[in-house]
Amino acid sequence: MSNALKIDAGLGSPTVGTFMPRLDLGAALVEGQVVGTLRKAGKTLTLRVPPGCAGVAIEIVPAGSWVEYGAVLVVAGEGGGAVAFTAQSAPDEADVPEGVQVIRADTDGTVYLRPDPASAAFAEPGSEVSANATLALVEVMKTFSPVRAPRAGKLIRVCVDEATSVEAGAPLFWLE
Amino acid sequence: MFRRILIANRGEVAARVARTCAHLGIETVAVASTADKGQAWLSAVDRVVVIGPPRASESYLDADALIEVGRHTGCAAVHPGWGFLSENEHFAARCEQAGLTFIGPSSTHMRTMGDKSLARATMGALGMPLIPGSKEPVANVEQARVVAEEVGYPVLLKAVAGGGGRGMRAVDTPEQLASAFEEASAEATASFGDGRMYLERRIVGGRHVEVQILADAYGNVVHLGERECSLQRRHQKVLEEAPAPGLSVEERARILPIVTDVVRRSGYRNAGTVEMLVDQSGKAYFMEMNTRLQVEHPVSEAITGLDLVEWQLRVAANEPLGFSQDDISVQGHAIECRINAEDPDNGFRPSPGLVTALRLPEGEGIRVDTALASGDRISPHYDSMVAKIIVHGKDRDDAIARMREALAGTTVEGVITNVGLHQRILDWEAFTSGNYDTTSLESEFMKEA
Repeated sequence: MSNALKIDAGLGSPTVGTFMPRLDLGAALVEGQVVGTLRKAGKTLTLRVPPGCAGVAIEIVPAGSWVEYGAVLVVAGEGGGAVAFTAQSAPDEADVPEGVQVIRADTDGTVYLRPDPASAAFAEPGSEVSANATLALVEVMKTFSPVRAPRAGKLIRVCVDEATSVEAGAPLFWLE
Repeated sequence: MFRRILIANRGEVAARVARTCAHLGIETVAVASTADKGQAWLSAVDRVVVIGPPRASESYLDADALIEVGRHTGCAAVHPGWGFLSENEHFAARCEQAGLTFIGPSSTHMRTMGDKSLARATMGALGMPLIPGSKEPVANVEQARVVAEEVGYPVLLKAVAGGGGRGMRAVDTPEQLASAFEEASAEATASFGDGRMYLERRIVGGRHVEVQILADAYGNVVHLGERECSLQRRHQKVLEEAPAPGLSVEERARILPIVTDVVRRSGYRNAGTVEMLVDQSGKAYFMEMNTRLQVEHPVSEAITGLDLVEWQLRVAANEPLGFSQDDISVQGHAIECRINAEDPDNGFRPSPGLVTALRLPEGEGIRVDTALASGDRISPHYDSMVAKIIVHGKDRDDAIARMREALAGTTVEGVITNVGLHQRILDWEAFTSGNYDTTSLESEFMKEA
């Protein structure tokens, strides 16, 4: 069992293999619905619609297609009163209010917002943080470095999701 | 010979394997994670398949995906490179079951050598000199204490599944043993999912010398001389050279035939490296065997004129070695500097990012192995290798002089590198005199770290 990838155009393949659709054109894409199967190294994966999708299938890759990771399996269109696949818009730099400091990644890496998967986040939107408080960890080649608050203040926005890959300079937090 | 192979790796080693394949007329299929799409080295292969997201566990470590790609693209064999799945016996076995020749030793040999305690017992039984220590894994602190009393302190606790210094602790006195055992075993469990430990007498001031082996399917085994890899930081090799200044003429003449003979009698085939520790009296002892191509293999290629990847491919395709030990002669001296994107002045913190300018040296006796070009990114998801610079000179002094020139002709912009550290090493008396051991680099250049 595996979720299909949510991509701009619709649903993408989460790995390599031979795809067999189990979905009809015009079918509504709702979370948990079976999209099809993927045959990979003698094993069969059942692919489902991941959370956060809406719309209908307007194009489906032919049965028996061999696909790479990320290849389009299903093109989604509008339907059922929902707009398909609106990507979460990144906070616009121009919107940064006066008096708000943007804390940025100082290196390429993967951002973790909690010390380990079982723990609470270091800080959440609305948290009052003290100067030098750890806000996140950035992992680079298995080395973790903290992202610290440059001063005391209120965190008004967290710009990344847990385990997001970022490039140096990417905004991570807004600090008021 | 194979018509087409899958390169189950990335970056510099993928480029290295592709180069020899092109020379031999073998087609290559490479895999890439989304983080590596468009990188320069992918232009050197015949086909690229995007295999997964940046995270290695879902791309370069996904054995099912690699086997699926190998079969779908009609490959006859798989080259695993180094790192990733190159020492994973389950992957090797699954490749063979899927009808793909694994370019390396049998999965049985990989399993034996991957279990460091079993490797020790096996190679010792075949006649390899061993550092005094436990004959089998020690189950608990009490057993460790019995063996430590036998061999004498200081001792070194090591993880059976170990590698890269993880799950390893030096123990100088009996009082330190209990806590060191608990720590090392916990670390080994976390890193390898196997907390079993073994123990050896600790050799202080030892040198890391390793022997390059090539073995075919017909019992022919040769060595390509030795390499010295004593310049390390946190068990990561920094600079390697061949021949080894740390191995005397007499010890070389004694140990190399023993190594070759033991490997022959073990039934091993393909390329492999026997790592040894040389004590202060100059005697060499078995440490472990690596069942793959090594990062530092170019220094052995430089002094012997052989292409190790070519012979890995030929041996895997059941061709006999076309030469005997007598046909191999060591010429001159070679040095390799590993240029990494890391900051030596800041605890060797990795420095990934965009390489805005890259100028690498060229000229007689200079070889550069790299996967990068200006405008490529060094990904935070993988190792921080920028390039390996290898020089070959008529003797050690000549090689050092060439490396100085080569480093002076090296420019990497956009990321911080250790080029300056290598330049300081080349001017350091301990290095120029050849009088260094596995602790020298850290004590000279990492005092504050």
